[in-house]
Formats: sequence, C-alpha cells, structure tokens
Amino acid sequence: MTGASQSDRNDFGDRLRQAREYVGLSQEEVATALGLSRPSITNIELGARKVEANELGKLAKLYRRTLEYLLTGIEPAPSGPEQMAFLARAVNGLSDKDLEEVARFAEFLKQSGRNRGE
Amino acid sequence: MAARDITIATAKVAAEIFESSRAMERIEQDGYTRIDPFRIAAGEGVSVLLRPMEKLLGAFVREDSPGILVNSARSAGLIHMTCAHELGHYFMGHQSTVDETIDYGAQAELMEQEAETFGYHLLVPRPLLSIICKRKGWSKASLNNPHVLYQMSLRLGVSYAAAAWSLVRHQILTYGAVQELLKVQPASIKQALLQGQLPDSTKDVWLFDDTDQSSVLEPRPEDHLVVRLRSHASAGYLWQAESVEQVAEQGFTLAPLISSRPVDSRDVVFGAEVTLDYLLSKERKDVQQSHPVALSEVRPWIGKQQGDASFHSRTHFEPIAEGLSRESKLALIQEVVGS
Repeated sequence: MTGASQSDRNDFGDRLRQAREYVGLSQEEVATALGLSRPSITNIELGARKVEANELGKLAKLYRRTLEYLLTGIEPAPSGPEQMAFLARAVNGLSDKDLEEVARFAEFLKQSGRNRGE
Repeated sequence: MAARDITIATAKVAAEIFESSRAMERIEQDGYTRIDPFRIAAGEGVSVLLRPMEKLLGAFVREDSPGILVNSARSAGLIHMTCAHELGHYFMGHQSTVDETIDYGAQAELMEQEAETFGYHLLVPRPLLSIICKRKGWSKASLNNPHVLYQMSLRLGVSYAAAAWSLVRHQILTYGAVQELLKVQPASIKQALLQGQLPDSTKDVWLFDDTDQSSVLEPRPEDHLVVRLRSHASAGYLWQAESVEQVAEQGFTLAPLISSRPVDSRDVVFGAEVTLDYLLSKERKDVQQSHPVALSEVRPWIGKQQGDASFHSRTHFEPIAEGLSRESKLALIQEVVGS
C-alpha cells in the first residue's frame, strides 16, 4: 500500500469521526444503530477496518451527510440564495463562526429531509 | 397586533400543544416539575442541535425538515427558554430566523414578540406554577423571597430572571417587586446554599426537602444537590442511604454540610426539631431514566428500625451536551435501525 492511500484512508476515518461528533453520538450508539460492535466503529474511524457499502449508506443517513462528502470530503454546493436569505438579513451582528454554524445546520436539515423523503 | 392579542393567540397554541403532547400529565401523574421543550420538539419531528456559539442564542431553520439550533454554552434555563422561543417560530408558522437575544420587548417585530410570548406560555403556564407552589407549600407572598424564586426557577427549568418575569406576566408579582428580586444575584443564593463552598458559580444548587418527596427533579449531572433533612442527631441518629445495595448500584453518597452553621450550645435542645443540610453526590449518572433517592435516619449501632425517619424522592438527570438533544438522537438511531 502506498503512503498516499494510507493517508486517504485516515482522512476518511477522520471525516467519519467528525461527522459523528457533530451529531453528538457515541461510538457505542453508532454501533447499536448499525448492528456492529463498538470496536468495529473504533477501527473504522482509525482506518483499520474496511467499510461495506451498506454500512456506509447507514452512516451517511445517521450523520446526515452525503455519500460523496464522506468518501471524498467534497462538500455539497451551498443552498440557493432563497433558502439562506434569512442569514443575509442577520449578517450584521453575527460572527463568521456563528454564521458557519447556522449554514452547517441548514445543510444537516436538508439531508434529513432527503433521508425522510426516500 | 396588540400585546393582548399576541398573548391570546400564543396561549391558545400552547394549550393545544399541552393537549397533544400530554406534557401536563407528565407533571401531574409522573411527578415531573417542568415542560421539556426538547420533548415537545421531538414529538413534532423538529430536530434540536446544541452547538457552542459566540453571540447567537439560537436559530430556527425551516429547511426540507425543520430544526432548532441552540447555543450549548449557556445555562440550562437559558437553553430551555431559547428552545421554547424557537419552537414559537415553528408553531406560529414563521420562516427561518436567528436570535441573538430572546428578550425582545414591545418594540420588536411581531414575529419576535410572538415567539417570546409563546416561550413563556409553553414553559411557565399558570397551572404549573400552582402545582409547584402546592407541592412545595409556597404562598404567593413567599415568591418574593429570592431563595424560593431560585428553587422555583430550577423546577421550571428556566433562568432566575425568566422565572421572575413570568410572575409579572401572570400578574402574581408587581414589576417593582421583580426589580427588587433581580437585584439579588443567583450566584450569591447558590453560594449561601453550599455555605460558601461553590467552586463554579455557573453550576446550579438544588435544595431537596420533605416537600420534594412526590417529585422527579431534573438537575444536570454537574449540578450540586443539597438535601435538607430533619435531624435527631442529638439522640444519636444519622442520615444515610437506605441500603448498601443502593449505594453500590447508584454510587451516591451523603455527607453533612457541616462548616456552615455555627453551633450555639444554647440552641441544642434534646428532641427538638432541627434540620441539617447534606450534600448528595452521585458518581455514576445514568441519564436514561429516573432514579430513587432513598435515605433513612438510623442509629448506626442498632441499624434501621421501624418508625425511623426516611426520605424518598427521584432524580432524572438531564444531560446538556454538544450535539443533538437526547430525544433527537434516539429518533435518529431508531430511524437507521429500522431501515
């Protein structure tokens, strides 16, 4: 295995860990949801265990992220100006960090809607 | 719309929610003491996410699926009221919005006045104040006491200031009386309860006594719990956890808060009713369900006898951490397990 693919795999594991931490789930809870053991989740996040396609699908659903994002780290295109117009109105008093939090949450909800619609 | 109309419209919506969510039954029948906005949101399919933010208190976002974002770096009372305010935006049919404050006042736009008024109707409905006062044996006049008001605010799950203002909204206290109450800092009340041993003034200090025996209280795991018990120490009695098994299972310990009261020998009358404050600590805090707090006053050399005094109450710890609310997480896990 080349060094590059090794680090890709760790990036993938890191994205999974960060996505899990964002929703506040423990490795234990994710294991329950996927029907796996807790160490498997630990190993997946460390890049030491392969992720099956159906497991990845469930993780994407659980974390409300796109498959593309989990695999490549490429964020979905930001929402259209209509949806985020309320943020533009509020921009005055808000810090960049707070704006980022709200935009991120809007994306989370967008993916939630997609999941439910399926 | 006039303030009165806003009050009537939002109170009506809140009343419908109490009906459909059975939130009052949870209080009247199960013994809880507050309306839980996270549960109301979960019942509506509204996701609630807590994140540390700089200036923002909260946001309501109506995407394909509705959600509420709350600043996790605030007190439990403010977090609950922010969630209730954002629920106001949801239930009153508003569009996405962000809130840097939830105290808007009469000059603010209609949408914010509606959300603010709704928040108070949801978390502090008048019947709830009556229930708590009845359980605790508090009169209208006793609510002028900052210590009583602070314990009331903890049971309601709102801040000390919000509890005070809710009493003005319900015309129980006058504006002037509340101005006086707000001169007292909750930190000084907490400090007094812990007899000056409060390490972090952002943590709350709950006072449990005889009148909490039928209640389920919901402190955060990091709050301090003080139990005020009638003591017969002069006759050799000691308060302790009711059973060794309980101590082992739940890992709670009871220690007298001694330093505080200077003992005046003239006050020690054999057989007289005196109270002692104990600090209740729990090592393991299971947040999934409520747990009994069972104590008895025994003479250690005889052990528990019939007729010995006992104290029974319940706690159901409320974890407030970054990430989805406890209810939103459960919904998410169930959705994926079932897929």
